[in-house]
Amino acid sequence: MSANLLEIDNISVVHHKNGQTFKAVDGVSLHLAPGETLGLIGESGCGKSTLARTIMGLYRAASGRILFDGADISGAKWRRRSRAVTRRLQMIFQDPQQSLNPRTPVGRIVEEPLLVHGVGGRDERRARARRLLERVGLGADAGERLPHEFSGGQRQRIGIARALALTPDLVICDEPVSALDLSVQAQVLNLLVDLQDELKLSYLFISHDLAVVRHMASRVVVMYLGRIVESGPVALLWDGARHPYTKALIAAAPSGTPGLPRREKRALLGDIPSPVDRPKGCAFHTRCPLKQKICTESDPALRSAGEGHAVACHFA
Amino acid sequence: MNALTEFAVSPVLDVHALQLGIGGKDAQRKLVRDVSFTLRRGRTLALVGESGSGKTLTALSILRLLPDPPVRILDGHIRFGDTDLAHVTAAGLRQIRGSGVAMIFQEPQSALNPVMSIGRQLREAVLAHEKLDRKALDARVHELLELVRLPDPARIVHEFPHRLSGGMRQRVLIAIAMAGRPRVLIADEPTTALDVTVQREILDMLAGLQERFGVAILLITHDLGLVSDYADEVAVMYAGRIVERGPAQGVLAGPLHPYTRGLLGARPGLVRHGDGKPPRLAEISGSVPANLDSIAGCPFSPRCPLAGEQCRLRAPELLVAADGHFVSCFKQGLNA
Repeated sequence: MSANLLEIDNISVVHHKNGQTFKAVDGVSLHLAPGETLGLIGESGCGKSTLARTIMGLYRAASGRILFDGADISGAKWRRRSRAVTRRLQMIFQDPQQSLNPRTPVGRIVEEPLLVHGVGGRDERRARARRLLERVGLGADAGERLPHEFSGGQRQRIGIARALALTPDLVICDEPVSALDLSVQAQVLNLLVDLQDELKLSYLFISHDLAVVRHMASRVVVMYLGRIVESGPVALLWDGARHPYTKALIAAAPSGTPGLPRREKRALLGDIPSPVDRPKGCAFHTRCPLKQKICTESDPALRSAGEGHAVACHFA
Repeated sequence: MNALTEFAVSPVLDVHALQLGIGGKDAQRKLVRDVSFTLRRGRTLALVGESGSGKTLTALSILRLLPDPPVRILDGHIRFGDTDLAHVTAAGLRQIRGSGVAMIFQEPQSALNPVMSIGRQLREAVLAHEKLDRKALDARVHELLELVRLPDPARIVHEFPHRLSGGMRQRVLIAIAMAGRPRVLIADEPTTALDVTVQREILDMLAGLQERFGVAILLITHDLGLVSDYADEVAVMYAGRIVERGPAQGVLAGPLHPYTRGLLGARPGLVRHGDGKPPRLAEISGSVPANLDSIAGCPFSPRCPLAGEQCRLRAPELLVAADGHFVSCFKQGLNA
């Protein structure tokens, strides 16, 4: 048996769009240890949300394996998965506005996972929902109110309470603070850290915001157009990124530090290509400052670049 | 930057004691109170705040893009040259929109006409400001597309908005905004919907346009990170008021208002950490009050760690604290 809680082995997911098929996730492998936070960063079209939804069983993988605590769950969509697995694997969504039923009282929203899994009696379930809402910092009367009566930050707390109702081991956080204002974002991030500590949770933390991932994660995976281009410990990646895309991402993040001159301009060209027309060879070559002939012809494999560090580039 | 040399840079647009309100006489609520700032040639002022702070309302009111009723300018001036935009006629406003003051928006998708080619939308924008024959018109459109660094202008003019990426659409909007050779450009969260690497390119491009044409930019953003990289001056808004204003570097390095300090402390990713528990972020407790009129004193007092009796009784004025640095707080610079 492996020591990893989650192991993804060479997984691909195919999407259909306007009669065309394309690989939204293309041969991605990663692993996550119990209690760890793995950050997943990348921009639109990189496949990070598709990957999250595939782990959750909302999409089916075209090939590859997903092992959750040693059990292969890649074949089945969530309805067919065993209750023992779905209970332990939960998700927090980006937009609490859209992921909470507007007509359902908040207490019932948090109680629902318990109901689905047949946990406890009615009174027990309600008491647990109340405790969860209190734990995430909502008042005692929150349970009777509807989602629209809460602010964005409070709604995200409701989403967190719902995800924790079944005492999961792994929580997939898909851009959990992207829709929140800065002052509220800090509250939610602190809450996630405290809950992780208290409940020994593992997080797969997905964000386009490098600062947030740097804060939360110990290891980071960088994706571009469906593939991993670089991965490694967060500190190492921050100071010693090897892939030109990772470097550009870090350079593009606003410094926000007074006194520092505007960061040196890097020469990233143009926009991200659509994943439907993935460029031949290395997918990043259309924007890469290091591009050579080989980059348009052959796709670099992800190879080790030292301890726990991997990079997919001909020249890194 | 020295405040004295900064005053020497010619002011282009002056917003003075602006008040915006919503609703009729009986049920009127103030949305923006006493907002004042000056835009200068070739300089960028960042108007920073969270949702509901009134930053977008302030920006929209400059070009009178707010529906009246219900939103009205209750008081104040918006001086652009000899014109007061707060009191100008509809015809006078048309003269200034686009050629004096232009605007770009957060969602480039909804600001472009989906059934009109890019070329036609650009030609329309150019013709609104100058009469040109077809050849000169096409040349000007081409020039505008090159200005915003869109590759292959000859092909782009035939494309429709849905065929372009978000970043390219925002470039098209900037080209349309530049068509009237404006002296002021209002950019309302221009890159919020875009990916970070694209955001960087667009903002660098805007900075280039500013250098070349001396346009004054009002950058509306919720992202303090952008301020140090792109703004000369910053005004922080909270609950409809400017709570702190000053040179960007000065405010970021030495914030005086507890709200500004709170925002700067709440940003993640400043402290490196590898293994173990991530460090706690400074929080600002609570959230922005829904009804501002219910608060008698300083609007930040319900969330402020320093708030005392005085703060709950009346609202502080925006007063000068240092060279060009203004703050509205009775307890400015104190630590919690």
